[in-house]
Amino acid sequence: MALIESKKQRTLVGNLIRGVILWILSLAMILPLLWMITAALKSNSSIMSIPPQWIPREFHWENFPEGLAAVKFWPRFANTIFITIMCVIGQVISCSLVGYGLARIKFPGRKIWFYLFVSSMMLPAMVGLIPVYRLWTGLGLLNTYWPLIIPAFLGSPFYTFLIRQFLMGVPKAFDEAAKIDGAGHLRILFQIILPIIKPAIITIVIMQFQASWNEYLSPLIYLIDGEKWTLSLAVASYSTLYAVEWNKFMATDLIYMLPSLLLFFCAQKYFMQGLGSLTTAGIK
Amino acid sequence: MTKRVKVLSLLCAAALAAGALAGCSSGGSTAGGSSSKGTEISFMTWESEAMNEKILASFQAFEGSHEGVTVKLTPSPLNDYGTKIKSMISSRTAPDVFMVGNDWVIQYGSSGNLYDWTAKAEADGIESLYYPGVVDNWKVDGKLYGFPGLLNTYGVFYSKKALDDAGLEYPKDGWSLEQCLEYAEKLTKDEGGNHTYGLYANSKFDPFFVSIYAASAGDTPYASPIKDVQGVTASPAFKKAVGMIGEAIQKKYVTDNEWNVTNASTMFMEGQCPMFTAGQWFADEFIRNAPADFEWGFVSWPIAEGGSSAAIYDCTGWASSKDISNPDLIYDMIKFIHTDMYSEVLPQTPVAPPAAVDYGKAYYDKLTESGHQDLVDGMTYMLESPTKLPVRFLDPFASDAGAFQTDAWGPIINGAGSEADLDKMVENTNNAITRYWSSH
Repeated sequence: MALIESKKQRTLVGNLIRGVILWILSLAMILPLLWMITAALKSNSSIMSIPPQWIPREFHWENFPEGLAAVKFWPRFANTIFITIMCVIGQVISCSLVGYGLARIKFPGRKIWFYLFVSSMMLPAMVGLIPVYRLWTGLGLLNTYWPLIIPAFLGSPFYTFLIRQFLMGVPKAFDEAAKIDGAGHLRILFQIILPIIKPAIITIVIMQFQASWNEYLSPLIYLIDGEKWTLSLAVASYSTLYAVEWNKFMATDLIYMLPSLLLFFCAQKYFMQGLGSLTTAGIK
Repeated sequence: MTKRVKVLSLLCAAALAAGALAGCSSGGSTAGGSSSKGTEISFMTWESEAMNEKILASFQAFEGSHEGVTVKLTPSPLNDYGTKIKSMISSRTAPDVFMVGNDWVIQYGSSGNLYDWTAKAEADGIESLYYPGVVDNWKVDGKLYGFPGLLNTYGVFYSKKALDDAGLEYPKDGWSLEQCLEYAEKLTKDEGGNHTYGLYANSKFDPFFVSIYAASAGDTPYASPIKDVQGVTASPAFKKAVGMIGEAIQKKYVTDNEWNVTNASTMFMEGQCPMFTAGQWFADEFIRNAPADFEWGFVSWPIAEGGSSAAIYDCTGWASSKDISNPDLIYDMIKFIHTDMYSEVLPQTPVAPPAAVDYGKAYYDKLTESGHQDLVDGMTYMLESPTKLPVRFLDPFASDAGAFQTDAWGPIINGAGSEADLDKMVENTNNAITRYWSSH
């Protein structure tokens, strides 16, 4: 009896300590976001006040419309949404096709190709920046969205790896049953496999959405006209040679962050499943 | 698939297709070209959106006097202006006219990427527009690759209230570094757990700024002349200044080299910085946006006690890539910028004095009307200084030689490095400079 009581007490203490640590870490993670929210509601001068005010004395709701107007938010929002959706579609289609081929179709050199894909992830993006830039310039595609969209349709090594790993955990019985019914590879992929590997697909959607939404360097060097700018460039243009209007900058940033946050919150269950496939079988 | 889903899918596809047509078509060449509708000239600056709008408005007069010509702005975020313009120059899609620093003109001009304006400038006699000696710094091997636009000076902005509260007189142009650091000590405060530095070094004490002390003391400056620098020197006066500043940093009278300067100007306007080193362009922000009851002053960069006037030379201007198709028209535009455009725009956003001597009156008048004759006097004092020093390396070895400074300088000026560290930094920097000149 004493032993059971002691074990219960140890469990309680352990849970308490775990809870405290989690609360502290959660607070550390959420504090910058909370500061952004309060800064967005303050006047610029009160952001710098010492001691810092967590709750604004006056709520400056006008920071939101003024901040958005200053960077011409909505037209650039439309540009960014368009590029992001196209990139997401491109990655899902291309990585599914390549991942399926590597996982399910036996062809000579399959393993070599897979290792090439994975090893290309070791190459830093900066190494290819200049030759790729010269390629797009030579093709006359500067000041268009094509350099931002086309690479998404050529498959990302990481997402291809993710799909392939997830597929390795899907029993081949599904494929064989479909083949018996006369289905070809494309039909098996789109009608049988994709619904099964939904967690991996949603993971790609989330990650590519965030990557395209936040992409800065490519729009900076490929887009010249202000009308074609994405939100990342527009928000960056808040920096001037002088003082930064932090309150409006934070307000704009909060609205800028919202789509990514909302997507993640809605799909986080699938996101965790999808990433889990990298170490364990795909189907849970 | 239900009918509703089909309709929704069709609408989304149509929206995406419209987006593709709008964004995936080229916006046309950014280089000036002709069409049946007329000629378009593009330009690019790193100025704020507010100033860009005023610049664009002033170009209407240029368009009016040049039938069929339209002027178009290519925008860029300030922080990555360099990345953007360099990628555009390398891909030959640079705007017809773009803002440049003096060092970029030297570097890109010497690599053959910029238009050579020598013939036009000589035929027109445009050099007579500028302060003596300024244009020479924009030439490479005698060829003119750009035009000076605005001159920058660096000094100390101070809060009058902070100095009044500390019982200090407002400093005068030509004040010494010794006096400046003494002021910093008296203005330093520790209250309620918060430390306020006496001097916030927004323009940091890098070797080129410390060099002002050495030159004013009659000793060898760190780097000289403005361009074609053959080597650097840490003279006794230079080392003395390093020691004084390092001691002040150690005692927390002055912010150190790693201090984040992003908010310094906002803090200054809020009365949280008693003194603040910066370029004169900050006055534009203070004049337009500082609280009405905030009183500030400006004084020249401090020199050696009892020394002679010495100042930093810093000039930004305009250049064109070598592929421009309308050099005559673009030359007209550059002349317009230096004369009419600056005269109209600078009083509205008083960022800097023009390098063209006769076209700065409107700018200076604006400062005087705003109650800042001290700024006019401080800038004039520094612009008229007989000893001009470079603000950074302008020559093409800048990145190689500068790398040694970037790594070593912080601990040295913060008072944590030794004289041997400084000598080593100078030696490494000189080796890089020597390597460059021996191969060119």
